[in-house]
Amino acid sequence: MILLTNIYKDALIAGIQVKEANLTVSDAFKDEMTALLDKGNKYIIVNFEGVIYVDSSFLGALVSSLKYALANQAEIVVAGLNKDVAGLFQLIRLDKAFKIYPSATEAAERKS
Amino acid sequence: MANTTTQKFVFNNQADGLYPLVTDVMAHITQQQKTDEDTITKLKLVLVELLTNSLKHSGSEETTIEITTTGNQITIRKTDRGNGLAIRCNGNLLEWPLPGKHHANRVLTVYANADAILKAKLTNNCGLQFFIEETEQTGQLDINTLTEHFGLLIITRASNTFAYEFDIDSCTNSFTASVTSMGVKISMYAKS
Repeated sequence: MILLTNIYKDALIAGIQVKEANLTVSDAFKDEMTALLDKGNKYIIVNFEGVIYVDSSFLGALVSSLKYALANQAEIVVAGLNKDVAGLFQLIRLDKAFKIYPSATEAAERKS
Repeated sequence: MANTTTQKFVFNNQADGLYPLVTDVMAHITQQQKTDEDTITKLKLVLVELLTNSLKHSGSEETTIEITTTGNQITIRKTDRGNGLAIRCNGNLLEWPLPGKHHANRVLTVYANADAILKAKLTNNCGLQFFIEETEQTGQLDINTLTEHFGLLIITRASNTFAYEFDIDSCTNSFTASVTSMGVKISMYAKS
């Protein structure tokens, strides 16, 4: 399992359990996100706290999950990005596609 | 005349060796060069994606990274003899060297993202230079137009220049990227 989930208020926090979010886990991540969306979760916070780097394969899986979420009237936000990962989101403009929060609890508190 | 130093690193093309190598390379670079934090982030991103590209596509057992610092310039060279850069033109996978002549300045579209198109200008039948053509974004971002392939886009965005070259004699593939920061020019040369 790549994700450890828990419910906080009206949100589902999906915490990434690996330090290296790379091509070795991207397919599993996408499958687990799809399953969470299929269960009817409408607001998923992907918590990157503890992740030291993210590669392009994992980002592709995240974007694919976002498209699937939108098709299911659900929302995915991200939280807990370290400096390098936040820089990556900004560099390729994914900060326009995802709401980014400092922490998962803050993302849950600000759920609109 | 600036001093030149060169250091080689070997990547075993195993996923668990990727980040330790990035850490080693960055430790070497920061020891050689005083570099600002944004540039360090960009260099890490470029390294991660170059090595990830080797993991995914090269098909070779080993990759060599060579770092050369000359004054305020750093060169990183990644070398292996794996598969060539996989890029399509009109649906057809290009094979290196490209057949025929007169390829220089021909522009290929690599892939499109929501707000940018990754393109490449051929330099000859063995090489190309990546660049990004920004597209005007009006209104809200259309998520469905986002690409799910970011590797080359990340390297191109993190670099000032990013090029590919196939060496016919040695059958190696080369990638060259350069980054400039705070008046310090950093060049990354990768060969695979």
